[in-house]
Amino acid sequence: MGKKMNKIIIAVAVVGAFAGGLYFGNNQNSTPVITNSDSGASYGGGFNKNAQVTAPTKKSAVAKRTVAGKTHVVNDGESIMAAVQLATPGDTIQIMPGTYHETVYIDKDDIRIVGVIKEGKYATLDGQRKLNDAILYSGNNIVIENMRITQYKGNGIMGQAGNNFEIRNNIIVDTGVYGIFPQLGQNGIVEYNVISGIEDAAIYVGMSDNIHVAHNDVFDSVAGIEIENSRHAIVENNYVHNNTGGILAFITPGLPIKTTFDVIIRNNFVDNNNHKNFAAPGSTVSGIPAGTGILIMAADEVVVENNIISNNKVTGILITDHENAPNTTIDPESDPAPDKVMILNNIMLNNGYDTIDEAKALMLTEFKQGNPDILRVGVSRDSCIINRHRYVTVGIDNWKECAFTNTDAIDSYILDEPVAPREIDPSERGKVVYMGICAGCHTYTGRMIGPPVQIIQALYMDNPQGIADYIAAPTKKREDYPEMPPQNYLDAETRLAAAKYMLGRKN
Amino acid sequence: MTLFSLISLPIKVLLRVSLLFFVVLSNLSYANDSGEVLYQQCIACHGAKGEGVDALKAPAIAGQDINYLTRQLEHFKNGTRGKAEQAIPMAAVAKILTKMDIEALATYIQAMAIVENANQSLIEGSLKNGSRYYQAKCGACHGGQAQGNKTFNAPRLSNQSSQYLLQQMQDFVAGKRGYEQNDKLGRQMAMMANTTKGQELIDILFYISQQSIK
Amino acid sequence: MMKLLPLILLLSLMSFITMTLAYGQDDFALAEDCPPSFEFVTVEGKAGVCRLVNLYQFYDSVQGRGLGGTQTSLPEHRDGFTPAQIDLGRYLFFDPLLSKDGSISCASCHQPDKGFSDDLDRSIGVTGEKVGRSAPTLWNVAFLDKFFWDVRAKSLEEQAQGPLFDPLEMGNTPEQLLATLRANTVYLKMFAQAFPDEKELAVEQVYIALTAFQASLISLNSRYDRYAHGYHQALSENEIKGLNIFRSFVARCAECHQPPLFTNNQIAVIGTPEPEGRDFDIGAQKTYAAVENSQKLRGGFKVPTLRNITKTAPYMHSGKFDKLFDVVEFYSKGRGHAVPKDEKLQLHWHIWEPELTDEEMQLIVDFLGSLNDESLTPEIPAHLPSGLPVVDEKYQLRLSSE
Repeated sequence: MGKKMNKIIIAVAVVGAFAGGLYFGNNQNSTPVITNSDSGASYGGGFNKNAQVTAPTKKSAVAKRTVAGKTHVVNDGESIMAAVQLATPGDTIQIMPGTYHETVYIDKDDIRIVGVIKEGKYATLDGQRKLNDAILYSGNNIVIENMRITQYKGNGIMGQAGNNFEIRNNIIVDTGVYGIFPQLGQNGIVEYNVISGIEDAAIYVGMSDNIHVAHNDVFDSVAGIEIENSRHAIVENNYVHNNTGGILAFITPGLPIKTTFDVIIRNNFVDNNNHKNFAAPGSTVSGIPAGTGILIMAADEVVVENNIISNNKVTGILITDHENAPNTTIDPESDPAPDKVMILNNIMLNNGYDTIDEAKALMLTEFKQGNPDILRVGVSRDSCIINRHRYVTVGIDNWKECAFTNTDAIDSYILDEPVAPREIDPSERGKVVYMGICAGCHTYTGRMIGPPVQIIQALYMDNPQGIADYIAAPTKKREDYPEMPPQNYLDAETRLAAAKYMLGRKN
Repeated sequence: MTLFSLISLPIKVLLRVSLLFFVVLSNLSYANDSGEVLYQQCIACHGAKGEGVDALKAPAIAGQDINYLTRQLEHFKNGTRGKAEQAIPMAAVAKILTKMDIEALATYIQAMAIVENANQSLIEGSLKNGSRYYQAKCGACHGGQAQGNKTFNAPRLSNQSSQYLLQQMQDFVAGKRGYEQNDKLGRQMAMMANTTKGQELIDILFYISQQSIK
Repeated sequence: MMKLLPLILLLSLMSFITMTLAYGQDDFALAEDCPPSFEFVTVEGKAGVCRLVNLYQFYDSVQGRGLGGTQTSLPEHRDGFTPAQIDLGRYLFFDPLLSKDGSISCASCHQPDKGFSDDLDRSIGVTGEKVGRSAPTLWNVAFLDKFFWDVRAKSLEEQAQGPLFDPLEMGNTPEQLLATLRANTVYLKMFAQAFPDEKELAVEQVYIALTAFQASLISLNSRYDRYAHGYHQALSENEIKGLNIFRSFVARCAECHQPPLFTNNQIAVIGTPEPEGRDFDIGAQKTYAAVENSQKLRGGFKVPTLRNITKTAPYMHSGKFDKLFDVVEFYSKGRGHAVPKDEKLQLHWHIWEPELTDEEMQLIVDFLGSLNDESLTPEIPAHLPSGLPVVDEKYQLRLSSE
């Protein structure tokens, strides 16, 4: 019966969309359109995984390890960074309870930083208000879990273009600008972290794709969770309380990646986000009015569903374009309007009780009274809402009814297969290394920084392995040439491919 | 017998003379195999000071690298070198040297003071172009000033007769030197020799001739 | 001895002939091979072109935008020019013939040994006066899609017409440029070779050739790059410390000067001071004057690359700072500290109060030195089709006085 029933309800909903739109625009007291979200169509999302819907119960973002690496144990008083330097991809670094004053940077792939919690005692990274960031990574397949981080000036955990990351079970207290900040990465999970006292966003996903932020407890910060210039992100099951603004979906103008779309914000507690704004002057979040539950700025295709949004004094959900947002620049290359916002069922409780003057003024123009749960300012095209009669709203009367009622069909945007390793196509390796690296110092016939390729061909005529070995650990052979820098970051196979390519060059 | 009078003698005579030397001296060498004594048989062609004699197509050898000298003597001895017409006398001489003789000779010749080679600048070319070509094709192994580089088993070329160097390059190209599969170093040089010719080669030789002795 | 004489005579004669031929037309034969790091690729039915090959091309990046961390792909770039076009561009670039009076070339302000920039606060054009802004580096322009400090050009071809025809810069006109080139037999031959499908030499071909040449100026093989590809010993301990401060969220340099190009190619209003006596430069506000709220871009300039940055002093759009340390210090002195009192600017959100120590600032400077790579510096032509001196007289004079 399910299928047939669904169709009928959709039909009703669609009719309702038009009827309702007209209705609410003109008359507040008419019969509302009531939509049951237990059944009905699900939002399809904007990300096509080309995979069957039967998703595993537990998603993993990092690539599966096929070979067990080493485990490096770091004891209190030792250096985590020393262990990272020794580690090779596939290794795990286990950090015993204790206090560590250092910045840990990981410019390698597949390293797991695992804190050991013993009877409630954590491995604590303490920046003592002197160090900049606690953990920086740029590698793929990085896991950071069970750490306690405090008193850093910059970020707790910052990713720069690392893909397939998992950051979980960390406690980040009173630490600088962002608690957890994966930037420019694809396919990552941020879950079960407890973060507080952050002067910008506790969790800030910047310019990333395929992100899952779940089960985090974020509070006492300027912003709880911010999804900025990112796509295919789900923010669910988080407890977001006592921040200036709870959950943010932004397009920040002036960044090189210009869009935010396909963001699902669902099943979160967004409570009492009335904290005084203590952001750095000039920062984008310094303009957020204290008391904002969910803030959607310029972001497109944002779904807000089944959240419990309570006690946020300005409003439960604020939707704005760039024009009406303070502290933003202009960017002719990014669209300033939040389009296709979709507000499904949410519990709204006691929001907007001490709202901003702009909201009050807008309410007057719509002849509305009460405390606003939902407030829209500026342009927003093709947005929709269901069960709008439940809330006190401003600026959404002409929104359509949504053609779906839930996001049940979307389990996660985490990729079924992690982002592929950064490996050079084996058949191209020799050429790429030769062109990209060797050619910088060696020409075929002329003397450059290194000897001519032609001479290398004579010296190693039947012996590419000789080149491959030499370049891994070069020695000075010629008085009047600088010593060659080692190329041992290239694996043996790649070095041999480059050597063979070099010996085969004709010009 | 002065060097000057030697020049007028035909090759065949010289060959006989040197063989004669050899017979006399090799007898001596059994008693006393010092390099100095062994070297007496070389004087007729390479000169008393190892300065080389162009007319006999004998290169300057004084002060040359010991490994190079040893290797070449061995190559002459076992036929790896010596296909070229002008190398036949040298091959004949080397045939009769023992391993110990070669070692002693090479040690002695390496220790000889380098004498300026009067014949080195008989070829004229462009120094600027020569420098460029030389650095592109030769310098990486034979050194920026043609001083040689032990690391690559590359002999010193400076102070060498241009005529001799030209001849060797032609031999390399013609397959008369660096022709044996097991003579890898020779084959390397043969490969490089094939990359230059004509005016470019002349300029390179001129550049080499302009380098200081050391 | 007699036998040798004829040979020696012959050799001498050969060398004499070659010497006299040295400056003949053949010397201007355009290259048939691609520059280093470029692969010669033949497309069906077309002349072979040069394609950049680089290790970074095997990495990925979010939305393919070429920004991020250590192992990140590059943004889209310009290539696909023929060896002849690139080489013709090289001759044009160094030839003062392109200026109004034959006094300066592109290379006068974009000198290869100064990071393809000059050592002036603001460059000097044909009139001897200083122009409005500092000459930017040309390294890695192949990856950019915005040109000039105020981003008023969208392509290298469009950009080239700026300096060529600006009365204060090279002062030429398209008509005069075309006439001079058509009157030069060597250039006629070269253009015909570089643009075999075109009927005659046209001024657009000059822009394309200059673009082709500039797109070959690739600098991606610095010690930092070796670090990024995984060889961590390529940087010294201090340089790694500097890198970590550079990309920290305290200094935040890497938020705009994003690897691998060390620019995000966006506009930023940072409130940099003008030198004494200079009026406030409104920068990108002028470029976007037609856009609503363009005052938000007042004083905004393009984020420049930091590759080969130690070569391009003085720094900022009008050369306010002589030393890199001073530049770093500017960012640490506090948000808006140098903004004139009567100016209201929408300063970039990353301009804040990082309160870096002197030691930290010095470490950033140390790190910046590891971004140097000039291994693909093209050869400066020994002589030019115009017969004019390379690069120009003033440049030569400056070189000889050094």
